[in-house]
Amino acid sequence: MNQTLIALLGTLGGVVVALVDGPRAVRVGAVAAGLVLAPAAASVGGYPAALVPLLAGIIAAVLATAAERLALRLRAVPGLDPLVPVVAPRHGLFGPRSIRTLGAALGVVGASWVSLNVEVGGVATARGAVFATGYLWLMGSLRLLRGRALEDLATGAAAVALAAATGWLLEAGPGALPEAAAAAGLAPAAAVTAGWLVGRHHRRATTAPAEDSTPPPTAAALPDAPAEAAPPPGAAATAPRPP
Amino acid sequence: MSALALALVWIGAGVLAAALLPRLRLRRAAGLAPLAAGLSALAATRSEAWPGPLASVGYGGHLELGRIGLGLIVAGGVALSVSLSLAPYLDGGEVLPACLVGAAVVVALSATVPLIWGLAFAVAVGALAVRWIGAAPGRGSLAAGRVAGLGAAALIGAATFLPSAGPGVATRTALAGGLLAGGISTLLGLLPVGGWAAGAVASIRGGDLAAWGLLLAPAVLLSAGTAIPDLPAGAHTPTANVLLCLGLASALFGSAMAAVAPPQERYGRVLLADLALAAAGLGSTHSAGRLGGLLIVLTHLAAAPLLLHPPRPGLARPRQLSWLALTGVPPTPSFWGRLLILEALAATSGSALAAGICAAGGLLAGALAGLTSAASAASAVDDAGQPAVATRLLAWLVPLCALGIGLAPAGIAGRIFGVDFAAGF
Repeated sequence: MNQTLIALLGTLGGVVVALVDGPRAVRVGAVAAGLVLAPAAASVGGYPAALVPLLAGIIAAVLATAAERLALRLRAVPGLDPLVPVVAPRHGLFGPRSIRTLGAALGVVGASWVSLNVEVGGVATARGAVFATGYLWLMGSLRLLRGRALEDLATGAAAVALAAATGWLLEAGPGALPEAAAAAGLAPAAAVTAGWLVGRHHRRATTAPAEDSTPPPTAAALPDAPAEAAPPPGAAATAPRPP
Repeated sequence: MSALALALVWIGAGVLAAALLPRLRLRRAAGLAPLAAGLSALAATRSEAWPGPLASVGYGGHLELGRIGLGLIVAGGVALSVSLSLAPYLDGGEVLPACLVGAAVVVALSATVPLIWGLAFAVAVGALAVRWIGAAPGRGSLAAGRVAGLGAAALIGAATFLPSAGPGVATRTALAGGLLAGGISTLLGLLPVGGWAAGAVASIRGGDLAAWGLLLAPAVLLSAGTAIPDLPAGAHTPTANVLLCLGLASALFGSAMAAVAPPQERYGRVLLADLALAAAGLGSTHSAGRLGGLLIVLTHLAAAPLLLHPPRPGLARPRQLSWLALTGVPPTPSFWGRLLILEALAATSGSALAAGICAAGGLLAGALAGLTSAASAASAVDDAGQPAVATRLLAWLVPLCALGIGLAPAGIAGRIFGVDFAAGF
């Protein structure tokens, strides 16, 4: 595939990873990252290599959905809602995604620099694949750095894992499929964790509304919690509840 | 037993303990899971010298647990078990993430491919972040997910560039070294991005913090000590210099903060400062620095199970003795560890030695402040309700082990980590 097209696809996927929000953010992000990284991996390793990010992204979405549905069927357990911001959101000057949008724009420059100046593997001509991989890694890191809820962190982790798997394939070639598959496996793990917690919390919300009206058990709320375990001001107790 | 099987044992122990113990109303027995998993490492297949995470330049690496990793997994598992047993409160959710961290540490300390090494640390950070955010939601725990997660991502990113990094200072080599140094220093809580660790020690309960302080951070330190000498010169020198400078700055800052921190945060600050000093020892690239780091790790494995938790009635005397082990006064184990690191810093430069001496002085002041506050707590709370006899015996075991290490540091550390202190490593 044309390297320019691979780079363009990578940009689109990176923007999706950077900006997607909501209860299905991890799934959408993982599938988008897998789809756009598959051509990049295929440029050095052919179809077997392309299957690594593609299957990892799809498996992440499927397993996250399954974990959420399974959690909905199980007994209610109090705990963490990955969709609720851990700390109260700050109102960005141009909206809640403004910093991420700016980061996505700057990430193009960073990924371009990497693709032009750093030779990855023996394929010096696969600049578009290196750009796509680097851009996805940067957008995953951006989601990690700007994360306010566990869903954000899981989305970032999934993107970083898929980018790392593709980067390793670009570096090592098709002979490194086992390591790349192991790295890509972090994406389903992150998605399953987020899906499980979402399902568990929704189960709790539908079956025990009175219980849900209280915040999750913080260290300070526990009967014999030590004084140092009190969460700092602005913690989840003040975080907005989901609609 | 292979390293992969050992990691599965850790996961299985954690899942079983998390699923069964709360139902059986045996939450207090959570320490049995890391104890069993840690001791099962004795049955693992091991090699005398772990080749390190950069060994497989030809890719297709395998897991190979070395003697040093085995020692940390066994000692860390026992220390984690004692820490959970001495925790004043357990909600039952601590043990699964702790065992997941243990499994990830097994993989990280037996990885021969940098990608798997970084990936294992990412899994460990993810498990801790989910647990910490759930247990104590706040800026401190969120920062652990954000910043430590970014550090793990940096290690994963470095993995792509490490295998073919050349001896010269090319763009690729510099990028590999920068990402590696950034990832290691972030996971160790060094300045300028180590605020997440300081926030964690202030807001996370000891039972949850133990997995980071007793397993993850030592594993980062030990594996970095093995990996850095194997780096090509173009990445080796900047990585070592970054660790040296950031380690010394963090040790100075951390030791000052330990001296003035409130009692409940003091031990965490001392731990951070000691880890930073050990990182500076690694950065010095001298053998003495790495050996000193091993002794520092061993000292905290012995002292942390008690000091990570807030004071309890009846345990004040053991706490005092544990603080004594951290003062750095001979013949405490921290003295030998810091002495070796200062020796390595002296061989590096005079200014590094001066900074190291200041940091050691600050750590002495911090430990003495902890000793004093433990003494005042002893007179204030000792007549209140006493914990069970078994808990008190276990609590006494902690300082006795810590002080005992100081009497034969080379022999005990050599026995645990399989390192010959006379020959260096």
